[in-house]
Amino acid sequence: MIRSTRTSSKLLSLLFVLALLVTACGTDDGDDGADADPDTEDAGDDGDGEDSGDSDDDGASGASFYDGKTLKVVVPHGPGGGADTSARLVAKHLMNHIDGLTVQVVNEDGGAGVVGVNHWVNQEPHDGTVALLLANNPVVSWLLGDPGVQYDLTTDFHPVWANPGGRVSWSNPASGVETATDLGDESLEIVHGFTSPTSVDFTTIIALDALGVRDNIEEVWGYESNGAMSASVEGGELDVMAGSTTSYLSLAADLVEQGDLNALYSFGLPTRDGLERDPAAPDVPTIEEVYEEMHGEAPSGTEWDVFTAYNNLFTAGAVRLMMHPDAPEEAIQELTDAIMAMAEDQAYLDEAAETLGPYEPIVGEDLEDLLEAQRGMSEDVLEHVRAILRDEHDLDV
Amino acid sequence: MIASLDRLGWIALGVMVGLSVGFFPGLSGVTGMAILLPFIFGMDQVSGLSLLIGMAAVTQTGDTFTAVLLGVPGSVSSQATIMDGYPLARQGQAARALGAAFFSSMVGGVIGAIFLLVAIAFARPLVLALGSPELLLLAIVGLSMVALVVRGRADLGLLGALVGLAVGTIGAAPGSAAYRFTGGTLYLQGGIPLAIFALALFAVPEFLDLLRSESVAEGKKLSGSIVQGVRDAIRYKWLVVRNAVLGSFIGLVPGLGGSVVDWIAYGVTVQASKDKSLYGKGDIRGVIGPESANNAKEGGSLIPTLLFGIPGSGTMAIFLGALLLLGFRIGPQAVGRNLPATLTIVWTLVIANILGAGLCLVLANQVSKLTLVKSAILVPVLFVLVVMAAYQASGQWQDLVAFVVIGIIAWFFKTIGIPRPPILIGFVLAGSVERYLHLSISRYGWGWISRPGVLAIMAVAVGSYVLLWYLNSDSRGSKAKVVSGPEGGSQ
Repeated sequence: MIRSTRTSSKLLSLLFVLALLVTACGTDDGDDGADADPDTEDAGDDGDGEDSGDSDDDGASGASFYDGKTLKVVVPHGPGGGADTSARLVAKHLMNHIDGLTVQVVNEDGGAGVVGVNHWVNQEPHDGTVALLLANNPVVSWLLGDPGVQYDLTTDFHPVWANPGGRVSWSNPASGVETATDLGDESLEIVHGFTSPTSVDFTTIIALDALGVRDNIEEVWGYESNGAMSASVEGGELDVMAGSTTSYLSLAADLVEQGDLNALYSFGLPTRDGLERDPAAPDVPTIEEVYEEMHGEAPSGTEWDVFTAYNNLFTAGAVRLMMHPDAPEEAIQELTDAIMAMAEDQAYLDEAAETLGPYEPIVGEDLEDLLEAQRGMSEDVLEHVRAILRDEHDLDV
Repeated sequence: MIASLDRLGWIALGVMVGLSVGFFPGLSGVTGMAILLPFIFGMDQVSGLSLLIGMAAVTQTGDTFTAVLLGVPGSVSSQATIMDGYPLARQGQAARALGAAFFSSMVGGVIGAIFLLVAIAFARPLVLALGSPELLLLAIVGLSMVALVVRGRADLGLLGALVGLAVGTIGAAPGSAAYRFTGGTLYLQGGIPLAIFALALFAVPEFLDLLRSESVAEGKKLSGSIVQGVRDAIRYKWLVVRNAVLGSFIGLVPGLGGSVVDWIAYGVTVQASKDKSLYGKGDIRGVIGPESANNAKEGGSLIPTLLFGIPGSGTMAIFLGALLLLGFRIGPQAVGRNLPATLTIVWTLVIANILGAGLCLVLANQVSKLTLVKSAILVPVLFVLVVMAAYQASGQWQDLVAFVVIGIIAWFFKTIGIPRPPILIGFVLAGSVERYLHLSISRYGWGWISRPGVLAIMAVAVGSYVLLWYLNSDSRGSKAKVVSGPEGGSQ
């Protein structure tokens, strides 16, 4: 027995040495990036095969910052899903518009995106060779004051591309909620499902507040996904839910057409001319139209302002390609120009419509509005939401 | 059909990737997806689906190697195979165990695919009938399998399950903005990664103990062959078929099936046997039962994935993401305008299962010789492999810390005799049990207990135990084992 214990303790030390060794190797991998992940190289190869031919757009014009360089796009989430898809889409088509550029997509999952974004802001070189695909989750973590967040949305990110992504609410008409105005009907007992309050689903309660109907609704939090929630609406466990427009299109749109489900309202698409109907769900009235119908006047007040601030931030640009603001100017300029050319490219537009929904990408000067939305998150607006989550959802910041 | 040769090629490539990631302990279908995704982007739907499904269909087949040869679940999908597969390997019968496992996997996988084909058109109302309370009860039924895994020592089983449940609460709470036991670290916000937990729990103690013996196969010689294993599977053909059907139905349970199927299949296999004395010590039925069910499950679990976008397992979750890359929209249209793609999936499942299990059968004889390799040589190599696999789970250095800490605790548990399978069962189900309990109570209050679906599941669970107990009551060795069935666990 004593003997075996001694053997075991030797083994333990061996184990620790091994662990340290592998950690060391691991860190190397992470830093030089080139061999960090099997799929990164493949992403490059994959794209290389695609760009046969049509790279005549703006490659010829003078000295290029990116000629012969590799742009690494960090996706702070796992492979598959919205963020990853957007990054791969842009990576693939961007290479057609900058001669000699290779784009690699690298997945760095962890802490709902916070780990990867922290790393990108604080450790990656700010020399224009590393971009970030910023989806909504790490933004939410920042908004909620998550102590692990080491970045500031208002100063650390310069957008070069963004794609809108709306939200739609739908119901089971058997519950009595047939249109959005029924949400205010006090004779109905309405059960509304939500995923996690630390996800972008918290914007749904802000929307309900903006409509002035949240007091009339019973909230059930904690569904795992939009899919699980939509099945619960269809099965009758829930009456109402809201989810991204892309999940609406795949999970609910057909059932809405058959009359099994009803679409209630969309968050709309914020533009310079105000809130427009979501191009991915053009038949669904916007929250603004619903408000006017319910209250007989144009929306106003604190709740509406808070909703608008968040809607501008999350809907107008649901996924964004970010550069470090202090990256070389010529790099940002070249990327911005190439992305503008890409946004005119039918091959890109077709593929984007298929995967990200029928939205126009936000490029060039329109990105100013997005920057404005980023910078304009005032302390009042942030505190408004934190207070709700503190009082109702055990948020401890 | 012109493209069919092309398609076979993609399936074969997917199968190779799937078997490889399954073969290495700690790599799972999730890794396989991550490897394939960059290629998928821009592929046509049929080729992409062939590649992905080819991969996903066989990872649990490949997992069986580590489960049988090393007693380490390669991923969640071969958890229960370690119960009897590893003891068989230690007795020198690795080839027999593998032969039986692969053959029943193949049959199970094909049955699962047929189930998918038949059921997908009708499954919608069935899945919709499962609300949060019903899912909670099914999760509890899964937990109750603990009693069957540690037959005779229900107290230790319960203790283990509680430990697992407790560790499973680390991280974000469902339905609230609170983080539990994270010590302020980002790493723990998402909880301890399943791959790390399962690896450390089993690999570290098994490997350390392995060093005390010459090789995995005690006595340094092999008996039993693949052919014998296949014959075993054919002898227990009804077990194979029954568990495949069971596995397909469990796969149908949205969001839950993948984590409970192994243990329920194992539990049912044990419970339905007259002579239970050899289970846990190397009963070939303990390999056949879960292996048939876990391959059949993929067919079933594609139904909630395709129809509702609710993945039943980690692999399915990434598969869902990959479908997005292929421009394939999940939802009700899977049986409407996307029907051709759905059929592609069914055929691919069938072909991949036959191809994958066939390849494994061919390889099994050679691979089972690993059990003859000197421990002093085998263990260090495996250790490096496992540590690397642990690190790639999320690529953060904390993975290694978690691996070492959990490994040491697991070794301690093994030394003092606390069984570890219940800990894994508790950990795997902690999230579901908590989520569905939270949802059931916040939606229905305590009234959830009296929902018709809940009562029906309770009746079936209790009834089947009573029936089996009655049927087996004349055979020896069954009396103490029925103490806590689901009726004990569902309080």
